Amino acid sequence: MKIAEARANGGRFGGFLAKALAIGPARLTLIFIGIIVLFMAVVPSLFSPYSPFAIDASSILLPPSLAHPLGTDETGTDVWARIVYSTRLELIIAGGSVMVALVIGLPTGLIAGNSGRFVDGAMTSVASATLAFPLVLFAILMVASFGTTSLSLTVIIGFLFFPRAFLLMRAQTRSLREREFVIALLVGGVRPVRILGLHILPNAAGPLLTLIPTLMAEAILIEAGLSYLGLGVDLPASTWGTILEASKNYYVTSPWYAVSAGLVITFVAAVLMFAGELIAESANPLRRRRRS
Amino acid sequence: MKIMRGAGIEAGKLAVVLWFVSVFAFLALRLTPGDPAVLLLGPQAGRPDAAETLARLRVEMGLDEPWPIQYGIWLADILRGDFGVSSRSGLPVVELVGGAVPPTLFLIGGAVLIAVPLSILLGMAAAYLRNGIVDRAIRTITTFFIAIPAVWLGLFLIIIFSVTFDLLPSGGFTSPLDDFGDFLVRMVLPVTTLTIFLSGVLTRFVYAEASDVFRQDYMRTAMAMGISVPRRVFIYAMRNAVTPMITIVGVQIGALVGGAVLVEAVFGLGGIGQLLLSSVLNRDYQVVQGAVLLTTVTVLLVGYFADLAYRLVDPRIKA
Repeated sequence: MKIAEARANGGRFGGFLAKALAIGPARLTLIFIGIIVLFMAVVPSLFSPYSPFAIDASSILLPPSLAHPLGTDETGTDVWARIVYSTRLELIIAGGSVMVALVIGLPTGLIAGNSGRFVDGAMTSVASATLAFPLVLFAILMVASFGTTSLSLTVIIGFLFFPRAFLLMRAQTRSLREREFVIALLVGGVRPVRILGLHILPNAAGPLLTLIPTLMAEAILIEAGLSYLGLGVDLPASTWGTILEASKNYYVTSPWYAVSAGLVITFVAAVLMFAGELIAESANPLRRRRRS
Repeated sequence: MKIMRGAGIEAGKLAVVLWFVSVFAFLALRLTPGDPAVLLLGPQAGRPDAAETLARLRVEMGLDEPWPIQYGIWLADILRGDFGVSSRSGLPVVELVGGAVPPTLFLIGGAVLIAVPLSILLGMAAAYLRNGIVDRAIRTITTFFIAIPAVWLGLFLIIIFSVTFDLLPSGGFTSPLDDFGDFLVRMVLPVTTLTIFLSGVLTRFVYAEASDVFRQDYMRTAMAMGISVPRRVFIYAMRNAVTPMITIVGVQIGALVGGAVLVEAVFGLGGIGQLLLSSVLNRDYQVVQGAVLLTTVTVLLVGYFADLAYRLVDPRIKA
């Protein structure tokens, strides 16, 4: 109703505003936070006047103050500056690993969902086996073997996630290919490859969109865990996980240092998970909550 | 009968998966740089006359054979119950893994014992009071339970309870057989950390199941018949909402072991995760292979029996 009224008024901005209001405060907040985090990754210098590499022997492990809102670390570097400047690599690892998972999981899921019992069974067994395996053990083994570069972390975490994309895509394909419109396309002589790519894949997009933020959150958490074990990216590269890892040696004298890195991880991971839930709700009308 | 046949097929799949894991555990370290003989010899490996010693060490460790033969020997030994010895300490792998199992097991056991009833309560309450304040609060809090990095939560609890208030020890493991009181005191923080993570995960599952159950016709009929709320929630709905928990705990056991590995590192419990990490870094092939295989067998068996139990408990599932 609101949107219709705004459109009737003719104002382009009014229409935009009405739409923005219609998506609700929860979504707006999440989008706003998302934009800020993205900006932190792209232009970190906007968010902190300090350099993340500035070593200052006169200001080691200072408690939070107006000059250093989160205090300083063991080399006298501003902790907030380190967190801000680590955002880019953190998002690259998180986003990259989800990409890897989708690149492996989607085509294989599409194939498995459309194959006979034997191929499907074999592929699903491999995926379930990967899923059942303790991920962190696997990651320790792989990262310790292949080295602690951001690329190897991204690929390994992505590989750990691929069964999730695979199983989802497979289930979607299996249910979609029984639907009338797909059968109609088949009868109409449209090539199966074209049906899979142009009709089944887009229809499965909703659930997949839910998976992306959720997996990104989990990637950030796994990266933090691995970093804590000493398997994070090597210096001078830095992520929120490696900041947390560095802080663990000073938690007795400088608790704020350890607390701040973890708070940022928790906050961003939670925001991503809420985003996943909101997308799930809008994609699935059954789960949509009544608005009062 | 059908259940038995389903169980047989599942057992066959299990065997295939185990074989995959054994190949993977065998190859992972061999495909990547790092020579166990050089690492064992330490700085002396750089000396010009070390080549002979290195060659002898490789023969002793059985690394001079081609990979397929090494793999065959390893597999044949395992079938005879021999998991080999550590190239580092010379101790049998079974002994090393056996020593690392109790801390990890008590950690996971404690967390499961607390988190399962807690998440049933929270999940059922949130689903029954759907869209109310309690529901939103429970779901927000449990999302944060999952979003908190387990390592950081452990560190945070240490900062509060060990450093600031000096109430609880910050780590270490005591066997319950040696000193039960000390064992309990030391397990409080690690188990709390893992419980928070696990109840976050499980509450969401219970919530999703219970939301579906509350929408069922039989629940509306029960309400129309005037059956009391506690009876409807805790008897009628819970039976159907909670049975899938068996499978969920089975599926999540892998994630749980992963979480436990991180938590035990924070609290220095000396469990499976730390054994694996140090053996990977030392290229202790036999220990890594043995630990990975034994852990995976345990995890898969738990999942397998959970699935079997679910089929038996819920008559609606046909094999």
